[in-house]
Amino acid sequence: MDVDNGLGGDGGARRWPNRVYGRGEEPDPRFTFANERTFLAWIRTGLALLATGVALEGLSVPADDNTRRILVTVLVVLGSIASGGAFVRWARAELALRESRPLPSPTLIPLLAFGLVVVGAVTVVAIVTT
Amino acid sequence: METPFDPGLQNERTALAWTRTGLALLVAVLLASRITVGELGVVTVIFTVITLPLAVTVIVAAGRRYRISHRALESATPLPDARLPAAVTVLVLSLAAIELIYLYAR
Repeated sequence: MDVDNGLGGDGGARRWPNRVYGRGEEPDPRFTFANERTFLAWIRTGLALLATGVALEGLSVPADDNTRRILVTVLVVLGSIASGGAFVRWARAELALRESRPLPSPTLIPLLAFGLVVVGAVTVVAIVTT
Repeated sequence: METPFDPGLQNERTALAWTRTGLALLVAVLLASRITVGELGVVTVIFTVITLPLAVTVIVAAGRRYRISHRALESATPLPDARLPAAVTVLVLSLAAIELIYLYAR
């Protein structure tokens, strides 16, 4: 069903994804902008996690090859979750705004915090015991 | 002079967020290419040929997106959609992929 979002007159330009834009009503544009900036902040968080992996590998920290490989893999996986999750979270939040529902709970935050605590602890232990 | 649509400068702040994300992506693509090219060769070349133009596109699109949004706020046209965010997500996932390939190829 095509919902009139009150913006009409765009020559029928369909916005992607329709799963989000095809439902509800156009929210206050300020919320849409804020949602987009939150997405971008998560993307940069994902990039920072990838960069941390590159730094560990490049500096050979920790010195043990196997431990380091596992740590870098975990960081790359966390970075992928942050960036992939950024888009999923954006879509859910935008849909919630359009349908005037509460925003989704931030599942990424506990996951990332837990992952980083583990990575940090293992790195410190590996450095100290080497 | 044209005045901003709202006193919170939402569109302006969002454009700046896009620009710094684009710059970070550009640096990440260049660094990843430089670090991995010795080990991965042609895989890196394919990676760079696809991702470098994409990263530049994000920076250019930041300005374009600002103007489209400005027009959307002033008149009755829609705000930009989620194609560019999706492209950025794919770009970061490509960076993650080449990092893993490099990690297990050495």
